[in-house]
Amino acid sequence: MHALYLVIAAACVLLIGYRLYGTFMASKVLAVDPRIVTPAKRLEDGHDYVPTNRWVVFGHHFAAIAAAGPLVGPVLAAQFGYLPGALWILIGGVLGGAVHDMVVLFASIRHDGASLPQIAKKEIGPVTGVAASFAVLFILLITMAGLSIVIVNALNTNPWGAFTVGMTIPIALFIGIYMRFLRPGKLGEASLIGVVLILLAVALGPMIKNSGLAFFFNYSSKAIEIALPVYAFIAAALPVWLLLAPRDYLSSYLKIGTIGALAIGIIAVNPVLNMPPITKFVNGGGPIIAGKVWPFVFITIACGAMSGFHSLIAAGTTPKMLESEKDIKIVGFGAMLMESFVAIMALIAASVLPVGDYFAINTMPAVFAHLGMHVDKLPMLSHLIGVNVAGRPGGAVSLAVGMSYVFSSVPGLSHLVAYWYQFAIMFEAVFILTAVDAGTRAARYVVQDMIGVVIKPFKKINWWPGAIISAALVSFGWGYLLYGGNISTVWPLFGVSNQLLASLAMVVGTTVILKSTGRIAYALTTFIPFVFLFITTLDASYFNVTKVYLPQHMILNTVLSVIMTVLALVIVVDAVIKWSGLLRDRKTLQAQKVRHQAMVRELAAK
Amino acid sequence: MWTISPEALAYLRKSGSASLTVDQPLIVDGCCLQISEPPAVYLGEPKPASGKKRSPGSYTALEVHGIKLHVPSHLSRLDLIIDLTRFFRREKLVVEGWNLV
Repeated sequence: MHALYLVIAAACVLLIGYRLYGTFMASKVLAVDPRIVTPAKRLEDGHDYVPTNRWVVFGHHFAAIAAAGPLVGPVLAAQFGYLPGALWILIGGVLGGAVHDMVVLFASIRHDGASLPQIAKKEIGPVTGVAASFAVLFILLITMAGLSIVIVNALNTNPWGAFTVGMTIPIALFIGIYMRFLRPGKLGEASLIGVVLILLAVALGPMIKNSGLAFFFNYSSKAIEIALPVYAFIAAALPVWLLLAPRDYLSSYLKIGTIGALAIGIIAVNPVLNMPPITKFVNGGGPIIAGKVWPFVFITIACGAMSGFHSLIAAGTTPKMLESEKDIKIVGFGAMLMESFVAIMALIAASVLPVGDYFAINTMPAVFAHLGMHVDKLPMLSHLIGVNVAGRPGGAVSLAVGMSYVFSSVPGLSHLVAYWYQFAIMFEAVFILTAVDAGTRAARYVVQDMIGVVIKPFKKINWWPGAIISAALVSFGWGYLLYGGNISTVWPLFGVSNQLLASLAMVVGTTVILKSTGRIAYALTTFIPFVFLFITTLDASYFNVTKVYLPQHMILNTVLSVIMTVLALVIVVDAVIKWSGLLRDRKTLQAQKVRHQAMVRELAAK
Repeated sequence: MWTISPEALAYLRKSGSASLTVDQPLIVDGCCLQISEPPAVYLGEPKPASGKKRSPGSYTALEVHGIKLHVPSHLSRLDLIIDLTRFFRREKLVVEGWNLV
């Protein structure tokens, strides 16, 4: 089948989903009210609360939610064939992810831009608020490891790639100094210089690779697994303006350009999907993800379908920027569906690879040898790219090879395969290193705050012994997960924790909808996705612990899985108690239902 | 309410400065995570970005323990502390009580 059919089908589903279901959610369930003054206007302070044009907010929100996740997950899930992943992205995106993002955004706006744990505490109870805070910490640690493992497999024994990615650090430092001291406020100019420098680093890669300097950039997997937490430990100690902020600006510009180019490339080239709709691994025993298609396609693809991380953004700065509640639909619902489209592009990029080549890239050679498959174009691609791309699981390499395959099919660009590949690797690595830096910082603060309950000096964020110890604990924590794991053990753990957070966000959403509408039917719009995702995630977690972690004596993975599950269960029990109370109070429920219906009619009449 | 710790006050007396400014905090989107670290603190009046005028109302002047404290207006009602931190012999004024995420 040609990719264009999938692109058109996806676009149709997402557009129809937005127009019909998005409108239903906005006008009937949430009853977004343009007459209500949003916190951006009511609490306007020129910095945090800033009323902003909806398209600017859309761009900001989309840039925040769509990073490495929608690119890696779908590529890994292609193991099951392209169909399960495509169906989950489209159906899950419309009925789950977009609803999740929109409802959390709505709830945050109605709570003056409060965060998810704060909303949870207010709407459900303090136990849920605390549990949600702990859950966020563990998710951060697991995410660092999950994303880092993608880089490890992409950059080991790849001097060109390691050089290019390594160069993004001094380039980002230069841009930070440029914007702070040399040309303050010139964001566009600085970002343009940064992008040009990065492209130059990609272009210089072959020279480095073929010179004596290659020795200094030729790292083993274990070396990178140690280097990444050390990098995060150091980077998290630097001022935000010096490294993290410029890296963030650069990755935003790269993202827009690259994803746009990929979409145009796929539409223009219209490659054939070599991956079948379903593979034999839907029944389990897959070399990348060991479990069956249920529950694991739902865990492997989070961003792009439904992702708990989005709730941190939807209850972050976005709600403080919306000028009107009527923008909730395009920003909350629409941005998520746009990310679903990106995820479809990534799935296509992986699925255009010959099947044997895809599995050769995403499994170790010893495992591939027992799959009964044969490579097709891989030796030629490896030769053109200049890197042996076999045995590099993690999604980044197969996405990069797939993207190179698409771009090199465009007339006139076929001789640039190697450059496209290294550019794609660098592009993903920039996101991931930004996330690793930001995540380590955030986790450091949370850990320091927690230790401060017992050891008082830790409460002082700027007390340097506390800062160093906390940062070291965080970096060591996720570094240990990374060092002792691989994509098959770490990514499912990341997927489980992310989806548990999504489930918890839906619990909060269900409570908000039940309280504001009084209608059980409307509460089902979040309750049903919550139940589905929660059961799926618990099943996946059980499989991970019993069939993967315990047999391999992976104690930390087991402990984290159990902790996350317990936290999730605590929140669910707390929520069920709350819901029972709400449902028993029929008088209040009925009154709220009448009020809500009147408001919906009033808004529809306008 | 903004306060200044005794150590920070001693540092200010030693430096002979009667005014202090808290910089505007930076918000960064780091792949599904938005963080804003405690803003920097420096002696003296607010410094606008080079080539730019300071927009009116962006800073609020507070009187704290006899020190003129300029803070970003949107932070003026928060309960934060100006404290002194030491890294070996290097001393630095910092903001404590800040929520990162």
